[in-house]
Amino acid sequence: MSYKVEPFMTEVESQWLKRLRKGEEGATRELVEAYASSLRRYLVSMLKNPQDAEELSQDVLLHFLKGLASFRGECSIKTYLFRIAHNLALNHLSSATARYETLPGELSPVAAGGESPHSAVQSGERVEALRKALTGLPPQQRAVVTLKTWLDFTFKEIASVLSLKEGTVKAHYFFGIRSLKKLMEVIDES
Amino acid sequence: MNHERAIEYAFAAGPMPADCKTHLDGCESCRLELEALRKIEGELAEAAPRFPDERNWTEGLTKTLLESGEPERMTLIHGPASWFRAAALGAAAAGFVAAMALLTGGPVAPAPSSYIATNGSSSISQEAARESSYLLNSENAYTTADLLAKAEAMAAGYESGGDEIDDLVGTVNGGNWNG
Repeated sequence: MSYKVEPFMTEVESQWLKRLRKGEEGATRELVEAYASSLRRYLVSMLKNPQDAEELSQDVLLHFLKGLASFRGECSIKTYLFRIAHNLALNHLSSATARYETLPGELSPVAAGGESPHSAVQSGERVEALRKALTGLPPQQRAVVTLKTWLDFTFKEIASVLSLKEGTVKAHYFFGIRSLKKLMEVIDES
Repeated sequence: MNHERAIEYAFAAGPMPADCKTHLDGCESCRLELEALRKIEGELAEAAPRFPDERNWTEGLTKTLLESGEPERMTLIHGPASWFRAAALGAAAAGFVAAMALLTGGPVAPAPSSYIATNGSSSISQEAARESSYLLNSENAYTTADLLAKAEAMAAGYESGGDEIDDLVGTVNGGNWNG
């Protein structure tokens, strides 16, 4: 089943929501399977730490399930989930307990701290350098760039998730990508 | 139109106004800059982290939820139905907690007779409570697959035993259990 969604609730999502509310067997599992990986990817970018991202993606799903009864369906499930994720991520970043170490044995989708982008490139890991550079962007730009390039959100969807105007999202995207380009140029030259 | 504005329009703003298109047609440096930005965009998309397949991650989540022992987390594997019934009481997963309490002699002690299943030891709630307790016991070396199978079996039990869950929730409510 495809879960392609618009910023507003589609018929497919409405049906899915009904199934969730009825507690239909497998509906919750489908929710997890449909969105957990995307949420984790987004949160890895926002938090820089795979373990924190995994924990927080669970929290996002729990928040969603808790709020299901009061969810009015004024936006898509996808938008709602990522809005929760974004808010939780910002809270996490502002908390004093935020950790930035990468755990051994993790996939290290986005490394943080320790090795610099320069050294990553020197070891032939341009991809890793790009990921590091992404995590260095301001949170708002990082959120926009991640949602657009890693998760294929439309600008309209991103605007809905971040509660921003679409034009503002486009500006964040442009400046975010341009910052990454400049940083990679510096790295390439070195 | 200046260079920066032209590039921003062309890169992210969608349909370009005529003056932007004219500028780009005549400005080699802008075209090169635009190309470089799109290259970074493409590289970044390729750099998106790949995680283990979602089935495995789902199983991992299920295991985490089981091991957490937190009632509201447990409902994730039981399906939201039990949670909604519980939410109506203002207590997350009250049905599940009640089942747990049944086994542990917890806070549902003042349960009226309607709570005690009429079919004795085959009661779904008693079964679920027994299974839950076992799953949550760290001394039991369950594999993730085992945990998942158990969780699904428990959830199926809840689904088929809707009336009994209503009884559980009703009891918790009637007993003014505050979870």
